[in-house]
Amino acid sequence: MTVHDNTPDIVDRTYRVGGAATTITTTLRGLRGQSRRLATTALAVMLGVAFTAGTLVLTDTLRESFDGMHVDAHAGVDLAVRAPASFGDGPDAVRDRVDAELTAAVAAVDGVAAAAGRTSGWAQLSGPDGTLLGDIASGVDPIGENWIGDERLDPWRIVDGSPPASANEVVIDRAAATTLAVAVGDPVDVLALGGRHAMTISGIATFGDNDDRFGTVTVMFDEATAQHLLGERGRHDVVVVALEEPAAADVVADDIRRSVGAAHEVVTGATLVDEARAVHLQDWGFFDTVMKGFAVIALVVGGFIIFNTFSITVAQRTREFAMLRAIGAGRGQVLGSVLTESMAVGVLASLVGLGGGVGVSAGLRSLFTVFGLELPDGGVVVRQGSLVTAFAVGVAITALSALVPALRAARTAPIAAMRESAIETSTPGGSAGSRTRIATGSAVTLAGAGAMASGLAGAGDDPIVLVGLGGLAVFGGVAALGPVLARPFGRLVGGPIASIRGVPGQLARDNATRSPKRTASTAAALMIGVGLVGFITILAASIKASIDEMVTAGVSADIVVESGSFGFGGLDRSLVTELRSLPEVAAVSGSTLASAEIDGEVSEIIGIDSADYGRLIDLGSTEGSLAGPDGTGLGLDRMAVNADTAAERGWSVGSDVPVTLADGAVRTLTIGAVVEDPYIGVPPMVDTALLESAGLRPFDIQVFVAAADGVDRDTVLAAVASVAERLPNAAVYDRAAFAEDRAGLVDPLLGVVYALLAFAVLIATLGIANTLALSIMERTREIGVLRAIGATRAQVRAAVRWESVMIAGFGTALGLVIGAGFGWAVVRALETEGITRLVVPTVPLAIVVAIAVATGVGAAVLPARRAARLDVLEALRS
Amino acid sequence: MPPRPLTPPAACVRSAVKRYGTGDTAVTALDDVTVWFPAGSFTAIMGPSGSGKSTLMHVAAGLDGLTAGEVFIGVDELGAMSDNELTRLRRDRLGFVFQAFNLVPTLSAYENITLPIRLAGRRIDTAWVDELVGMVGLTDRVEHRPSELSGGQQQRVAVARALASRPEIVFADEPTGNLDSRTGSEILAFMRRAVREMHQTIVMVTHDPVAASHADHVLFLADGRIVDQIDDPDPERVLDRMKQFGA
Ligand SMILES: Nc1ncnc2c1ncn2[C@@H]1O[C@H](COP(=O)(O)OP(=O)(O)OP(=O)(O)O)[C@@H](O)[C@H]1O
Ligand SMILES: [Mg+2]
Repeated sequence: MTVHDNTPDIVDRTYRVGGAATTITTTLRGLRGQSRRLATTALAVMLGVAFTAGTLVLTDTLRESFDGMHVDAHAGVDLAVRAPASFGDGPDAVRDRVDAELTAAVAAVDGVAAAAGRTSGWAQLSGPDGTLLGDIASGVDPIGENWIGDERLDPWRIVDGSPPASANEVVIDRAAATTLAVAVGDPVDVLALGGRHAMTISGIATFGDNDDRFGTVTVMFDEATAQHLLGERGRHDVVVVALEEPAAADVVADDIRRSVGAAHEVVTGATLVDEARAVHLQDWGFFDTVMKGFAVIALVVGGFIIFNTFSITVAQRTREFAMLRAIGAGRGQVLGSVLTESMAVGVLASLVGLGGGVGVSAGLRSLFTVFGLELPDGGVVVRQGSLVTAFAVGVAITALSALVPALRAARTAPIAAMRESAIETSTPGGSAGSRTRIATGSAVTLAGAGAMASGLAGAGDDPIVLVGLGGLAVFGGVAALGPVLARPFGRLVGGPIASIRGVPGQLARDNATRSPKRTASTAAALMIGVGLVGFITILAASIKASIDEMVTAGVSADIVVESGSFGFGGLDRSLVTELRSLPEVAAVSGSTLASAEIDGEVSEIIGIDSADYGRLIDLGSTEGSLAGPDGTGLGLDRMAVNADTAAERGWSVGSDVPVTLADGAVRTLTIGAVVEDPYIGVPPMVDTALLESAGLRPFDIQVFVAAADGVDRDTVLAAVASVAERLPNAAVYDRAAFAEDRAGLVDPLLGVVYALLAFAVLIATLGIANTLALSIMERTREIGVLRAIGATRAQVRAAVRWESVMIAGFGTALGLVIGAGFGWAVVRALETEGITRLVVPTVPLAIVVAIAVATGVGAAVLPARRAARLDVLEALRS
Repeated sequence: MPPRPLTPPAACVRSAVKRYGTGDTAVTALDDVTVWFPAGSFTAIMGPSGSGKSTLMHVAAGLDGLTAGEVFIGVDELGAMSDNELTRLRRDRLGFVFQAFNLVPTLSAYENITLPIRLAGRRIDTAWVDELVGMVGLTDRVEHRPSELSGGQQQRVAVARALASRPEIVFADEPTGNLDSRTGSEILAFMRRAVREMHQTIVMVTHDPVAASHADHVLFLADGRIVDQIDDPDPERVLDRMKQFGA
């Protein structure tokens, strides 16, 4: 390759592409030259990478602190002795408690340094002013335990006062004491089995060095009180063991097995940690998925912008490339120089983005807190693998996004240098290009829709992934169709704008449709955000409406007392007894969750007060009877199932079914009733008395109440409320308010999702601003002419602003169509899950449109200002 | 120095100094220029490259400010006007033709012609615009975009636009500079007609003695000063004078 000494710098530059060092210097020089137009690309890469790194750092951090939490929770525990699984296995196993005498037997084994029984359960602190600590819906568990007080076995340390010495003394964690502003000697109420208990604080403790145990609220009792209030008198959940020689765990475990008999299971502390971790991961798996999903969205949206910027700059530099080609630069050289440039941007911006990731993770954490979801504290954990992943993804996305524009640059015909205008303007409609575009765009869209449909139908190993990829393909396909749709859209919307806004409106419309490809790919970034927001809005509204409908139709009770416990703790059973004695009340039933192995299959079951339940919940037509022939209910030997379950398992009224409960005993239950269950979708039902007889001490999650004849709603509401008053965790609703409360459960999650999607919209806004800025740069001369012949600054600004609004409007329109499609498809697919209503909420969607249009106005602020401030003469000279 | 005209001038530049830059690199583009453009006259400005012709047009049209001196359009002095006032002045009272790229590419020829009127939000005098379009011979091409027109057609659109709002004065900076001589003389003939038949005031910069000979007066600029004037010029005299000033 020859190097001509007298060639201009630009030629020189490209001729030397190939020597790595010079490539980098020339590329850097190129970058400096166009730093402004690359700034937004870099910003998009940075934001995408920061978001990816942020989510990865946050999930790393959370996982680490969860891990730490489980390790610490069992710190010092070398072995544990417990009952064997009654049914289920691994982390899902359900087991009985062990007798308290076991502790002494285990302690007597050689090599055991310390052994203690541990009992834990639900116990909620209530301060002097009625403040309840520990909101399960926000992820803060209120936990009760026995005070062990042996540093070999657990990390709790008294920092003030003393351990509980009697049945009405408790130790609470320091965080709780601070929140409630109580000190040693102060009274405090504790909700647990038996209802509300007045206690005195005997001591305040820390968990190791922490004020609480990973964001939970802990209250500790003496051993007998813990058993009484949390479990079962005379029994422990487990016996934990510290060894003199932890390395000898295997030997001592065998000794313990020999000594306590085969009826017990001896496991290592590590097994307890693993099981707890596995349970946690099940709960948090969705969180991981959601966060990764948003990282992908941020990157895809960012990718559109990067693609767009490179496309535009390549188009603007057509002449430069053509000139290079004309004087002999090879295609590979042009390709190489554009790709190198993009890589440089990708690498630099990704590095900066990584730094931002830590900040983003902190931001995300506080976001969750704002919406009432508490995440455990813990130092930020930055894993090398996560950083490498985020960095690699950032660079790869940048390179991929630049590939097509780079290939286009390489294909530049030398003759293009001679053309007057380097600005690409595609010919309107009808060309072969747009026909293949329509064909591929439609094909990709349909394929994506198909993948989504089969994913929603549950096909494949990983339907969620199928749905996700299908959704992505739909976005891609519609984005490909965008250029075809841009002109019709421009005519449709631009007409009114032009007639309202006059010349600036017309200029805006014409500019917005001038390069449909550019408009479409700019709008595509916004389309994704709006599409997802629209989809979530429709889905949430449908879920809420369905819940509302389900509750309204399925609950015939007049009043519902709700515990907000989701199954961990709840309302003491004495509430049902007391309510039943009210003259205003005709029927009362609690409802509690448990699990059982029914004929070989582990299943969720509910415990109810079966004599009344049928009067409180509309179960439709019933074969057999819940209340039984004598009206006393299912008793201890019968169960009821809904028609679907009965059909699936081949049961009918009178069938005998073997059922194992937590105590491990196998009972034969007769199917006493098969219910149609048209609304709720109830699990198999047994009488709560049966659960109690199996050693469970259940709480009611809800209590349903029907008013006596002739008693109006307000009267029974007041009567129930006055009884429930003694339980601070009881919320008393009439049916409509209960339906509303249930539907409201969707809200916190919805808030987080919206906030995350707002981020995608923000990136899209940057994209619009970027496109406008680049377009204005290439229209400088034209703006000069406009200003010279009398367009005011305000008119120039208005033209840019309306162009921006049109681009945003286009993205919004496409997004809403896609979002509505997704919403429809997903809601239909969830019909069997109880989402029976499809609701398209007009007000929220109108707000989405308003926000998206405002986004357009916002994106235009800086480009419009720059356009309006152009010096007329300089612009004319350009 | 031209004699002060009897009719009030359409525009007037008095003791104008325009200096670019400061210190050693300072360039004096206009050096104490005083000139009147009589209403209803066609003035050509000639001079060597870099003599300040474009600068004079720009300051006269309110596209650029002066270092010292005054500019009047009619009786209004431009120096005190805000950007918005100058913009309105250009829109409502002046017309422009540049050497090339005069038009907004997204608008049709007709839309380009009526652009200043529509920017002002005024009614389009369709009869007048149609007449103009007829005069420049574009009646069957008005719906075309600039990219679909030849260079000469584009310049005719630009001239029609400059005249469409019946401005007090039209400034044309080398309007035929990019055109072949036949197309150029069509444009010139058309501008000449506008002056004769409609009493339009036109100021035109040109390097072409034949083009200049269409004008009523020819002003010669050199090194930022008015150095000579010919009234009722013919090409030979203009050429003669040009040689004298090294243009
Ligand atoms: N923006 C500017 N900054 C600095 N100097 C300038 C600027 N514009 C013009 N000049 C200088 O002012 C002088 C007059 O320029 P002007 O453009 O008016 O010349 P002209 O007579 O129109 O020349 P031409 O026939 O080449 O168009 C020149 O020396 C030019 O370099
Ligand atoms: Mg000039």
